[in-house]
Amino acid sequence: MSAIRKLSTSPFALGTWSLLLGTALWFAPPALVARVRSTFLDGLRPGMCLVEHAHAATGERLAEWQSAELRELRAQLDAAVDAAAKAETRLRRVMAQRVVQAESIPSEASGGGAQGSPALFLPALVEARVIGETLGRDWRSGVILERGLKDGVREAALVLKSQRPLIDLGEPDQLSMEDPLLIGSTVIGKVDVVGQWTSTFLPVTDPDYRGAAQLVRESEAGPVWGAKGILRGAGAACVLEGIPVDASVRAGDAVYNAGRDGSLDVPLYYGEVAAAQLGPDDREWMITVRPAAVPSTVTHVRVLRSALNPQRLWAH
Amino acid sequence: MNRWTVTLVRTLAVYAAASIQLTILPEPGPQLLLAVAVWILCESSPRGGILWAMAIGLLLDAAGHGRLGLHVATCGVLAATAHATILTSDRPAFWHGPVIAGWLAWGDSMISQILQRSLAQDAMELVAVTLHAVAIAGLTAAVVLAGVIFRELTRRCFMLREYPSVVRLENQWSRLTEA
Repeated sequence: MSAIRKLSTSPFALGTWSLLLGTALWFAPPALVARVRSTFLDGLRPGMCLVEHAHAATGERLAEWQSAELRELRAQLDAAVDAAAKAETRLRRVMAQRVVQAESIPSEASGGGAQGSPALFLPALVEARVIGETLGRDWRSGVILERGLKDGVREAALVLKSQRPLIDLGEPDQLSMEDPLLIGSTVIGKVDVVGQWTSTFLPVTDPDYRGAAQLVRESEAGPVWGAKGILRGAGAACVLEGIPVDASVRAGDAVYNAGRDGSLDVPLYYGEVAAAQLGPDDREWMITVRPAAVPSTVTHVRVLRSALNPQRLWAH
Repeated sequence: MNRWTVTLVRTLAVYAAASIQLTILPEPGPQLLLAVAVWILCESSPRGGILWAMAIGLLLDAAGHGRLGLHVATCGVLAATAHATILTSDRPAFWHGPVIAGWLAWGDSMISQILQRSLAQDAMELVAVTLHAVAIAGLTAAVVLAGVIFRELTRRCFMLREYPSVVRLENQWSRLTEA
């Protein structure tokens, strides 16, 4: 008996037991795995909250030790950067309005001001909150979903599997794929997958992002439209493709969206040309576009979606 | 300290390490949970130490994104080999902890990375996996070494004698009576 006990509690036997237990758990059914995971994570939640709180409190205390002068300078710098960003946004908006006005005057002069029926689609901007990384991870891993499973909380599998950032709007908010995401009149991305409660979006710098874009350059007569191309995300910046070499391009030219449909007053801003050089085949420009500066922490965005005009619906 | 108090202290230590590991420690970083496993392994009997290592492995599995059971098996087997080869004497030396921590963290990281990538594709990838595992092992061993130095300094500063724990005395007693 003693020999058996000794054998069963020897390091070799315990190592074998752990191997067997690990193998059994490896092939455990997914429902059991999910239950084990959520039980452990729920159990750890109070401790994690406490650590997070202590970590934040320590950070705040350390920040308080910084000299008052340094803090003041940092606040001034932040305010100056914000003011510059606002001024740039205003400038781009005015530029877009001027280029659209310059385009519409000849058509109005040629008798384009006839009264027609109201537009069928009206642009509608809806406010959305960007879901933070931690909350997004919990949402996708099922920590929140499983908690609400009894109340019928479900989400589209494509949203859950995707690693892209999330916003808190979905199908009930009439979102659809390709709807642009805006901060002011600057495009920062587009809706990728629409779920029941949340949707994922593609930032403009994502390699999968594609969008029709058009150059706008300053001339003596004011801003004028340039060539059209396709804007593609390229990591930290974007690339504008399909601009022929005979088109005029300069660093600093503005890039706006080209896929306008008449429902918007002004085009939407993408960014400005950072560099332009001839491509290897000398047929197209290789244009690098610096996207418009967006705040480092984006918490709220606006989604531009098209809604049916009620006037037209009532008319029928 | 009696057996229940020891268990309570160890449970609290594991809970605190897991909370810190999942909240603020960057990835890849020191495996704080494995450092606690090493501390328990060095302080307890083979059976207790390996069971605690398996429990910590289960915690790593549940909190991580890998498949359940992977860390249970690796932690259990690595702890068993550490007990069979290094922790053979009743009183562990100061270097036992860091060496076992390095072994545990390196082995755990290597095995889990290789299995998760469904075996390394080529030699370069294997080198990358090994270097990553060595970095984690070094950091984990450093954490354990810092703990050992801190404990030693505290003992010398306050002139405390190291009393063998009740668990270890009981193990020694059972070994003597079995012999």
